[in-house]
Amino acid sequence: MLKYIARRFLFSVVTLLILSLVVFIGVELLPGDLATAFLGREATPTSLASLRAELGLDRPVLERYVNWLGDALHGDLGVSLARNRPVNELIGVRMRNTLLLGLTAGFIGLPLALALGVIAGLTRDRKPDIWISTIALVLMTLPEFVTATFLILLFAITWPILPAVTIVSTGAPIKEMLPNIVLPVVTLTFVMVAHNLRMVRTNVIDVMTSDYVQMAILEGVPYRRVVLRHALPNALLPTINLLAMYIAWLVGGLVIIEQVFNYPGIGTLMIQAVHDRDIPVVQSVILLVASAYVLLNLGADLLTMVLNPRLRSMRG
Amino acid sequence: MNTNLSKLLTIMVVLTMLVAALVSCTAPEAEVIEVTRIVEKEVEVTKIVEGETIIETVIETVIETVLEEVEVIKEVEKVVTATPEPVDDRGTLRFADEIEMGGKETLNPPTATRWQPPILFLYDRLFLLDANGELLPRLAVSFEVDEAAQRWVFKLREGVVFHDGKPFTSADVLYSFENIFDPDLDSPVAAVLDMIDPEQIEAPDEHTVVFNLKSGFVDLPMLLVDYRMGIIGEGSLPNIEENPNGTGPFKLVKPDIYGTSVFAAHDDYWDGKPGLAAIEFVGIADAQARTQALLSGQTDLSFNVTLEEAELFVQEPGYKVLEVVTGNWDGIVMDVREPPFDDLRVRQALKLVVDRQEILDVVLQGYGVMAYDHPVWPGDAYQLELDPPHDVEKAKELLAEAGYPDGLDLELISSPVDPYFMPLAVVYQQQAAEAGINIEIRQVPADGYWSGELGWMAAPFFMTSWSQRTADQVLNEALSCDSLWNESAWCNEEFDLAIANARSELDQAKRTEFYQEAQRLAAEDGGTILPYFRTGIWAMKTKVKGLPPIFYKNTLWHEIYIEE
Repeated sequence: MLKYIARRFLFSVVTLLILSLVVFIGVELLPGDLATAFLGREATPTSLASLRAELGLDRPVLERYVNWLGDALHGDLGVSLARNRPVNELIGVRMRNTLLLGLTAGFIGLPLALALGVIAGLTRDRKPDIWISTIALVLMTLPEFVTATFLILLFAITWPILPAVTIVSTGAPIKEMLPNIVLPVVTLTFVMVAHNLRMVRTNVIDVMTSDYVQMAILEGVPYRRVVLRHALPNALLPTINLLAMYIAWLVGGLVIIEQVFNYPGIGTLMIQAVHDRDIPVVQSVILLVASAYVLLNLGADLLTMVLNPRLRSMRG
Repeated sequence: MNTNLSKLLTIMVVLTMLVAALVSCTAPEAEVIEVTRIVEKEVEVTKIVEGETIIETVIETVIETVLEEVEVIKEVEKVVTATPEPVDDRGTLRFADEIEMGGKETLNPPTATRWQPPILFLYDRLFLLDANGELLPRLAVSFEVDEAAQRWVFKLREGVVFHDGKPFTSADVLYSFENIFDPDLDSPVAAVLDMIDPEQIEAPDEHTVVFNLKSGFVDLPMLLVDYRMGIIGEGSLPNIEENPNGTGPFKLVKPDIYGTSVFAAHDDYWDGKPGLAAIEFVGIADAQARTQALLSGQTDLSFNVTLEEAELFVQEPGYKVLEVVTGNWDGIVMDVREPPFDDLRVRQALKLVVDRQEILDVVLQGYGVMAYDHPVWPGDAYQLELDPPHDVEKAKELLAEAGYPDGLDLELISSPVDPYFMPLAVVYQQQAAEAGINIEIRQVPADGYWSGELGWMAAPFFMTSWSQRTADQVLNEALSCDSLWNESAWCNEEFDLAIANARSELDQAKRTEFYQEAQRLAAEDGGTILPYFRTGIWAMKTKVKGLPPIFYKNTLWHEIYIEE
């Protein structure tokens, strides 16, 4: 068991290392670099060379990568090339904003998805299921930015009760951020509830049609007891993985929504950083998101193992 | 079962704690912001202080918090003095623009990363241009120049005060130009003013400044209109980001590049009390988000509306759209060193096929004015109006003479980097096809188009776009033999001579002749197809008044007011 955990952990670290290398090379392969992005048309060979020297871009790729990685392992993500500020400082408060958005959506969305999914699963092919599934299907099909634009039109322009985009400062206190997260949270909730409830529904249907549940019903166990005691615990176990995936998706996948709402999170930061080839910022954000993804998955797997007697006995 | 569900709950709780931890990690940032929030609280506190005898314990705790945040108190004092005591019934103008430098913005005006809209109303320049393109004296009131156009004596305005109350003198002008020519700053403005000898700027008295030029230059005052030549207060550079000291109509209260920056009226402004109590400038990177902010009433004004959005605001009640003729243009560049463009007949044929009216209607939906293959815009006093023919038959003849009787195959490099490039390329492709010129459009990524690996100035036939410049500046930068940005590599000695003659000609009429001769040469012989100048589209709430549609960098900000 311990050996298994250790191996998984080691594997995660290797994954992250490979990933950081891939990102570094990827940004390197994009046409242009920070110097050309920054100077644009004012670039001359001399000004490019001097800016590259100033930023250290003239040194070999590998050397820059190793330097960056060494600092990152010490918790220093470097200094943003285009923004003249430590990356830690840039990311810190934006991470707070992104988490505020993502977790609020999670706390509203996940229970909702669970509840609606269970209802739909238990009433399979009957009215509640048909309604829930149809609406979910529509919301799933609409891309986030369409939902977002529609919500802005409705609640910020036609009926102006909420701000259309965020114009408070990046480091504003949470209290001031709150009105700004309403529309993004609703958009996120729509999309995520739609996706997740369908997954929960499928699980519930699977379990409800399984032999042991059928058996229990035939044995005369009360329906309520069958559902709560036997079906749901088994149907919801995969939701732990769902939860992990969801949180990871939130951390990184908010990019579009943050952009549409001008929300000062790490998604907007990353888009801007890619735009001006600010490698330390791009690297750090991706590494952070990837770490969250890998670690949450690891955590979820371990938790599932702990909760599921069948997996627990497995030897690694 | 219960244990399973409770574990699920536990994860959620753990995650909440994680968030809480993160929030507390970033507390220092939040503190700085809270500074301005505390202003309101302070007012309440003073009320309690007045009723001292009522609850003593309350006062004690209040004092404790104040002591903890010493910096906060300072900030409060600053804000209180910044806004006048009686409630201001003048309005606040809120507007948004992109975050052009991605957060690297600075308030030092000649820097490459200057923070553009704020430096326009924090600082004054020596001159501006009015709606007719004529010089409008600002911090300079008049000038005298010698016969050789080399020694320029500027009289400065008296009775002007800086934001900190200091009177404006020639020392501030010397300080500002020292900054512009500072080699460490490496300002792009220094190149524009390269005829000025930085060692030879003198201040004979408090309100006179003398510039000595390396060579004669007649239009020096025109160059001083550049928005990056704002005059900064002597000694203000070390604290320029927190405490920029200008003479402009608005002073900095709270800078916030990614959020909302606040600027308050400078009520001692020399040209009259500003019509607004404050300007709030919002940095919004995404263009669509800016439009939504304007539509939902979070902002009042946008200087940067796209063609597609213009109709939206025309139809929306409560909004108006202003069109501003600009010197911004797009063009198609032929490298005259490369065949077939080295043949003048081919260049002329490629210009003859252009149907300018159709391009204006289709590419710009009418938001533009016609151009004549030279880059001097209609707002410039030196502009030469031509009547470029649209003659497909003549183009065919010229091509046949040049050795292409069966047509010509060309590859045009274009990119989505500029929203007008693709439409212009496609319309031109159709028009050229009529004369048997087969143009294949090769689209390259927006990223790196300007960096010269594949795209701008890295192919014989490519798209370009330029922003507004004065006649002298644009002719020199775009077309003179040794300019770095001579895209078509066109080098015409007659042209260079005409520019040189114009630069030292004191007689206005003769100077105009020289500049127009240069434009004619560029149009007839040059390698750039230049079909139009774009119209700037501004959208704003109808309540925004006093903002005439002139080049936005020449706006008189103190004249803007809000009338509900």
